Amino acid sequence: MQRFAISAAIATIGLALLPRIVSGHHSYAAEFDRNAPMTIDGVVTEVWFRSPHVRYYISVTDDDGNEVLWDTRGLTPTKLVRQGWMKNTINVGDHIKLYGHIGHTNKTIMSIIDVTLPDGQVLTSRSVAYDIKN
Amino acid sequence: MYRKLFILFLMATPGAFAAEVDFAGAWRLNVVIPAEPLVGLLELEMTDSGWIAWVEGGPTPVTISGQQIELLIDSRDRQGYLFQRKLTGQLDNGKMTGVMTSIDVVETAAEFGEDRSVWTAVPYVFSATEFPIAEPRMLKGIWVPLRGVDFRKWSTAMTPAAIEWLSGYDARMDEPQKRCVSPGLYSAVTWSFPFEIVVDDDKIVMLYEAFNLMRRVFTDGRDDPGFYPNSSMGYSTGTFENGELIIETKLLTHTIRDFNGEPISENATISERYRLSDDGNRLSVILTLNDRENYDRPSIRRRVWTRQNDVVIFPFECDPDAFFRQLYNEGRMQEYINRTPRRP
Repeated sequence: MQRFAISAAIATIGLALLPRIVSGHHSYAAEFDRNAPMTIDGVVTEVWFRSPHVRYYISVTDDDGNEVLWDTRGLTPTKLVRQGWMKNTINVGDHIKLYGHIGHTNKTIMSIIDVTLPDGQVLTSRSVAYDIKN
Repeated sequence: MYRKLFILFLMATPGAFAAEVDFAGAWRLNVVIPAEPLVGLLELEMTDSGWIAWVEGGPTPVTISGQQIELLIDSRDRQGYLFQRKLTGQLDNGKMTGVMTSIDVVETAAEFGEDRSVWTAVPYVFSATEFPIAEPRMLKGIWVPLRGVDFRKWSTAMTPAAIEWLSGYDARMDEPQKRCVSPGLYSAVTWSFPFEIVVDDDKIVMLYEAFNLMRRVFTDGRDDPGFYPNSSMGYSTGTFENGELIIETKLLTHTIRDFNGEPISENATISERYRLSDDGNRLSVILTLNDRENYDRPSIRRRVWTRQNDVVIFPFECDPDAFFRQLYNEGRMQEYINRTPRRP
């Protein structure tokens, strides 16, 4: 019975700590602010189409006219390819628009929700593993 | 002493209080959502200080009054953001029914109908599968994950030592997969990537797309040779019982339970119970982590796949370069190096 009481106490403490744990222990939640999605547009300077997450380095001109390099990332390539998003879908030199979550502390990293390509096509970086079609 | 008095009090009090006793025990929770139902093990225990509830081995605040029950199950969405599933309902004729609402539900959970639904709970008893796995070859093929089934219960019954270890965990630098290191079996089985089962006379081979992971599950009764090294995928043996494939895995390395970072010790064992649906094309598993160093109760997760043999398993070419480049650009490389001794 004492063991139950101890477990209950630990459980209570654990639950009380949940919000802090959430913000600090899952890499996505720890790194990106889901309450502050934003859009950037710029020119692709590097395509890094590899696991664990694809990355696109984007040169963005800020409000002061300075060129800022953004580090943006999407899903793992195996999931993107199943959606038709290939390595050559986005290329160096493309002018694209990206919508996503910004880092909590590093304000020049983004987790991509969707991308608007130069031709206006919108791609979504979202897992569809429950409906895989090769 | 107090418990005995309380039980005597309940026995002497007909009506509403008598129903409370009937809540005690193990229940199979089922929450209806559009894709797949959520399924979980609910355990209710009466203690000196009142009722205690556990869902999938994790602590769950509970209120029971008469025939009414309220549970608050903490869950995470697929990106790790927390929300609470509030289950209210009543017990009637040995079955609980009620309504689920979600608190602080996040977009990705609401999108799949996890914000509001109905639920039931019936006594948790072993039920024989309607489509027994008569022989290993029935498992051959490519299995594609479905949504649902797993509650994605957040909190676990961690020991004080595990809580202490987790308090120093920094997912941004310590998460193994960031540097292309697999967190191991417990994650591999529950992640949303396809995998393939290949069957041999003495073993089953499971080939996971995630991180190109693979494992041999020996089915000929052999034990480990005595010098088998610990690894994140461990050493697995399989048996067929009551129409299910049961896999026991040991010889694990210190790693994490999921991307939330809860520890798994190298003395942990993992049990998996696989069964097929009645048409043979749906595979489900109940995954139980037994780790007394880190958890007071076994932690449970679930997964369901459909057989899609036309799906191609892709290579998982992982390169940690971008991760280290980010650390360098943020001036955190030395901090990363300093954390090496505690990194799983």
